[in-house]
Amino acid sequence: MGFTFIDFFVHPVLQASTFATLLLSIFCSLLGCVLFVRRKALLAETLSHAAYVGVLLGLLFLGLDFLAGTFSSLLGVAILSFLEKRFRLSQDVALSVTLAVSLALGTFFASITQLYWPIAYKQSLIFLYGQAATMLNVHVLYFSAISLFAIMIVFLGYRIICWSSFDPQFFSAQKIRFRLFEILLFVLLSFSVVIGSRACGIMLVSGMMIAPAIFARSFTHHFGKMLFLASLMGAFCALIGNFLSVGIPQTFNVELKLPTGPLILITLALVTALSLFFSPKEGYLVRIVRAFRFFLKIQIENALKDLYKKRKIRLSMSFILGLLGMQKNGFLTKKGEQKAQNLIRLHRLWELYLSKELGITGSRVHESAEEMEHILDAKMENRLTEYLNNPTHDPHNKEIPQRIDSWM
Amino acid sequence: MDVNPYWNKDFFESTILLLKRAVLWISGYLPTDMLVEDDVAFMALIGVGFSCVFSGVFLVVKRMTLVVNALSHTILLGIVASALILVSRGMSPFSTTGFILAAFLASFITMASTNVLVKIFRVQPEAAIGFMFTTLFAIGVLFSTLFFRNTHLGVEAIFGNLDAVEQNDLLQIFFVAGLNFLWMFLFFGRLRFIHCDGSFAKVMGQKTFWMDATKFFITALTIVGGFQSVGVVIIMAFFTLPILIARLFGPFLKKILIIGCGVTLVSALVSVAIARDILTHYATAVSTGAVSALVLFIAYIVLGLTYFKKAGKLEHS
Repeated sequence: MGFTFIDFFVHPVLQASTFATLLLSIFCSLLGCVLFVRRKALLAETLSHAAYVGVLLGLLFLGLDFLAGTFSSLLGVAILSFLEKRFRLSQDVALSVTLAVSLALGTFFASITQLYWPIAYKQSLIFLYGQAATMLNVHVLYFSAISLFAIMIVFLGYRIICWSSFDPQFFSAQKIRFRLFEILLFVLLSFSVVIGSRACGIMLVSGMMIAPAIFARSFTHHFGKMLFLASLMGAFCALIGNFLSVGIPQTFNVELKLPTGPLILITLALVTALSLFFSPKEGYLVRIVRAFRFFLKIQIENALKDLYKKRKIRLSMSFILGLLGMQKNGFLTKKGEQKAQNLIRLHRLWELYLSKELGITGSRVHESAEEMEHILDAKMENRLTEYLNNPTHDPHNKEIPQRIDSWM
Repeated sequence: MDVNPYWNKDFFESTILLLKRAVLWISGYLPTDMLVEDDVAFMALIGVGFSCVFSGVFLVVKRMTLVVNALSHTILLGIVASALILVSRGMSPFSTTGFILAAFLASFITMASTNVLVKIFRVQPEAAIGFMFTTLFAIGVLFSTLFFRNTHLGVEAIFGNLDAVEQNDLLQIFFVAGLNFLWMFLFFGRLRFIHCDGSFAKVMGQKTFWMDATKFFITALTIVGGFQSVGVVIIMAFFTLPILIARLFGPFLKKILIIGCGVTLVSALVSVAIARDILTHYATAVSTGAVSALVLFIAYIVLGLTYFKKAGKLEHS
């Protein structure tokens, strides 16, 4: 059977999974950003592992898997802070110990459950790897409630989250109700980790939190914008992951059920990798281009100076200078000469500044000027000229060329 | 085949019997094929535990234990990838070659990708680790679904199953332990230098790359070794807890190693006996690996809270 785009939202088989993963990604991204800016990205990992034992016991005795899971994951937080405070363990060791021991407890109970209550054991396994495909409308209800709650908390408590994330010392001196809010945030985090595991599995839910945060961070440094971007991207990738999990088997005509959780995460990872490459602010490509442009600028300016001083320059550089209209037949054009004079002016101004105002002598003066002549701009030059009273000679008693206003 | 000699034994009886049979086996009076499940579980726990102590000590010292967490997730991808490579060449994936290849692939992929993220893309280290290993794990799950039609390859990997370990697997486990021991024996001075005084080592021009790389590889190998017996997550407890317990006794590296091995030995003994005791009295088979991790944790908490509280040594550890 074939599914169209609309079917993902209205078809009774696909609908629940689509909406649930969509909502899941939104609240995971929001909370992931909060963890990310606190440099506690791996907390979610520990919480999700700690939730397993609660889920198992909850399934056994009460049928309350989500609530019990939340409780045990909060217990994990308690163990974590106990280890960190009482035993002075570093964060990573405390995280790993809590993670391993709580899953050991889960395994211990799982091996008992497997024998006597096989159905509950089977159900608990769903949480290990997650099954978005078998989710029901009840789950969508849960998910929408929690995502509404998460959005509300983040929206209303935005200030408080900013405080507690960026200035914890200041925050710890605040009123008690703010600290109660912090506890509420942890409860929310635990609960969302648990219901996130239902869809993606305890192994992957932390990835669902971290990846959107990394993505958003590469575009903006503003926390609010980051939250918005991250949840937008999370929702988008959840949709794509859902399409892929049905679409790939459909396209290749094979009987295969692809797990939705891993596909969503892989989509997220791809998009994040792309953003790390191409983001306009600090993407790798932008940084490379910026570095290369600076390198080229230095090369060009050095070649100009060399030509001005009648030294030999490399063929490639003379070609580039020719392209820029600064050189013709091995001689500087008017434009090139002005530019070279300006460079020499900057060099000598800086030398004068160093030796006269800062009292620096020796070869260091020349070396520093060699670097600074590429960095100083027209504004700085003006200030330097004013500051040094429009000097005419540099410390080596060489003439400083006069300023030519039409430069650059 | 006779009945299991541990049948219907309680905690103390089985402890003594375990020790007796282990000594008999080592001294050659008990042939290897006479070993029963409990003996094998005991040996396997000791082997895995020793490997973990050797490769874990520097990770704890350098606060890099989350690397183990990352590796334990990427090991799935390593195993799937090595199985793919070996099957395509007509070899069996469940051999020592597959084993080593999986460890190599997992450690290489993890190390390279995390380093690229942190150094080139300037992502926060912990976020980079979290992002990388979940993604690689997802790819591993996807591959295992696509090529082996098996979504639940990992259930056993997470829980581990000590009872499924056979005499032949012991060989692999002890091979890894031996490799760990050899590594520690050969490079102890160098490793100590790099890990305990990193900045000085850097000034002295010590190249840390190869030490780090072998450390990653050995760690991955240890995880693959413990993959079947204790599961990839619970093995984290074996990496950290014996060393934390040993560190309560003082900050000396050799002492930590020796005490850590002792702790592993005792905990293996106790946990196998506890598992047997539960089986005898409640007719329930529990996961021995999980019991062992819990025993270690309780020991750490109790020791830390009672004895060492007075000595005031917690401040230093």
